[in-house]
Amino acid sequence: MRPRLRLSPSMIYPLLGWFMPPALKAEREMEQPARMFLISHIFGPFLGHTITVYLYVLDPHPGYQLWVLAFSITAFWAFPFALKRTGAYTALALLSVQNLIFAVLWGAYHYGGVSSPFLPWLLVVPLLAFFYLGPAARPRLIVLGMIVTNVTLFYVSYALGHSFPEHVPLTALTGIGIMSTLCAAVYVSMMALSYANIVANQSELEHEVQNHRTTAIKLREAKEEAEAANRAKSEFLAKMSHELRTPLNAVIGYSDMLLEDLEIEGGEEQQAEDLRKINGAGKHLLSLITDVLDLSKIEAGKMELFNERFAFGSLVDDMVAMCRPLCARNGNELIVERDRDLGTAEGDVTKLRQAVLNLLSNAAKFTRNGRITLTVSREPRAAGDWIRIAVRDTGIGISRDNLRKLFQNFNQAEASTSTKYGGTGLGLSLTQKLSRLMGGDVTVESELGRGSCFTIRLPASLADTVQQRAEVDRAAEPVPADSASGQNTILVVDDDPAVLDLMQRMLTKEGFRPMLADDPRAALGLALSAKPSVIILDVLMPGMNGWEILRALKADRELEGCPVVMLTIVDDRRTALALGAVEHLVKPVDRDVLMRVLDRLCPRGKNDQSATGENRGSPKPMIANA
Amino acid sequence: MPKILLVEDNEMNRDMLGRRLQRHGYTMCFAADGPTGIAMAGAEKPDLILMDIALGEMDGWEATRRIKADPATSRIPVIALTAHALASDRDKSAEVGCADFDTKPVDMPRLLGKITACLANGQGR
Repeated sequence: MRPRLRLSPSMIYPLLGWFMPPALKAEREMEQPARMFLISHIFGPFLGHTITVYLYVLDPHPGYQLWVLAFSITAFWAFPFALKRTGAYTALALLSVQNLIFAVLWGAYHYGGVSSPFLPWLLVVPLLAFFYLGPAARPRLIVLGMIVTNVTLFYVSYALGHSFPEHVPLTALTGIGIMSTLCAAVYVSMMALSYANIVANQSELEHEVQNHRTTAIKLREAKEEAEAANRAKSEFLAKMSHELRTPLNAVIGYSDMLLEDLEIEGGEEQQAEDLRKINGAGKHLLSLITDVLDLSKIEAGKMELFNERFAFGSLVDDMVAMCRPLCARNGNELIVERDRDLGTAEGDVTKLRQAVLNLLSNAAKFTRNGRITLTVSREPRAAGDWIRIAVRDTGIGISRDNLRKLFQNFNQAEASTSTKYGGTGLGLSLTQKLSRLMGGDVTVESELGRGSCFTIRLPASLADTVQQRAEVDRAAEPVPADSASGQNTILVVDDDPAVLDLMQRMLTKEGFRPMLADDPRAALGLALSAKPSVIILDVLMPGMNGWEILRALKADRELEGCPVVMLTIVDDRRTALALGAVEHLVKPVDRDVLMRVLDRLCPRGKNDQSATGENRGSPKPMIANA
Repeated sequence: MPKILLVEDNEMNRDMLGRRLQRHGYTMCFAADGPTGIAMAGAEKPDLILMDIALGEMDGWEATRRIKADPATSRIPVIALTAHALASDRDKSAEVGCADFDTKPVDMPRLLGKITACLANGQGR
């Protein structure tokens, strides 16, 4: 019995759902009372009608009084439909309460008066009103008012008639009295159970919410732990690599020394051969450790790029020269297909070289007596050129399944690969990560048994500001090699576009050829390619400050003679001169002072001497009252 | 012959690098930690200092800073030797006053080039 009672409310949920207007469903607070409302209106009339049926049997002349009562009770069944149709929940609930009060008092008036067995039902009214309308004060007051009004009417009717009509003798009502009281009790119990069920559901819900909250906290903790573990792993790898490099340093260094000794003194060839093997193995191990360190740096987000402008063609020549012996080892032929003029590119040369060399050495490793083709070209795109480096081989190839996991760390296509060909499987993963770090990517096409083709695509320049492009255009202007190159050219390096603009106008007007760079990292490459007469350097710039550029310029054999003027907002003349600048000017720059300085360093209309002759070596600081 | 002070805590590295440099005609003196390095810089007046960065308690940065702070030794060019070619290391070496920096394990021809350049610069000053 109990489980059935417990289950019944949830079993009728679909029916309740059908009657429930969508607006009420959306309002969580109203949904539960509305459910109670529907339950009592669907099942309540069944209980009520047991009484009407009883009265019908009891009453020798069932008259209007019975039909009105039956109609009133039947009317409750119309409420769910009315609710579905109108959605006016509060109004319908109040109307229903009024109907109940009416039915109870009408029944009591006609059957038994103040002693009527129906009067206990009056107690149900406030309880139901609470279930329907919640504990808010306003509906309770309205319901109370309704009860008072109805009871008053009841009394007035009695007072006017001086007595209650007696359709059925009071004594005959004993049975129905007991039944009616029972019905009321059952009805209230049913509502209470339903209410208890809802409360239980709610606390279950709260429990669930609490569980979710706990889970979320645990998840966050787990995530933090995982991140900490990953950081620890990266730090560990970095530290381990360092620890491993130190003894390796000794292995490579001592074998180098012994080899040098043998070369000088002329020892046994077998000994030299063995030493070369030790040395080679040491260097190989070192490169593997470096790979691990690089991967962990990339994963920890600590890998930095040293972008510089470089001649793309000579990088390719370099790589080819390095790889030719490696390719020849397995009887492979290395073919290079390249555009004649690859121009310059800007990026991290070391990392680009590393990415490409990984591909080349892979190709050489997995190909025997075959052909390795290196194809290098520039691809013009709307937002600037891209460079494309493809390495194609006629080697063992990679199956479709293995292609998918190819770029994972420590993953070689077959587990047996490493035993046959050696290597750790870090190379491709590193090449991919490096390519992505440099703003590009690597793709692969392969056919098992036929060979593979790996292609790296990268933006040719990481710089994409308007000024930079303008400056690249300038840099690309053909400079006659035989005449004094860079004559009257002034390279201005400043991250502030306003300063660059001002300087450009000032210098052009005075007959100089300004060359502008807003990226300090591009300055050195530009200076090398353009050989300007004078370089004007800002100090405070993002990425690389002016002092660093100055130091780099002075350390370069080709550029050390080029006079450098520091342009700063702070007076730091001593540092400037100590580091080898010829002049130090304070912003905002005074036009006359600047022209005096430039005239001395780079006479207009005369042949430029500064980059080739007298100023080289020990530039004489000029005293200026800037 | 130019004299080079090598500050390096690892004995094998000290021995190896020292002997290789001696072979190239440099006079060598050694220190195994920062404080000794600073003292040797003052006492031996080397023409150049090779400073390992990962030294024991006082690291190479601090040792270089102190050498540069002492007028008696401030003019000696210092080449920092670090394990990683990090930009932060490069910045730091410039910040503390190193003339140059190189990574370990050393690439002998490259290091020799840097040593020659530093000595030439030092003489020029």
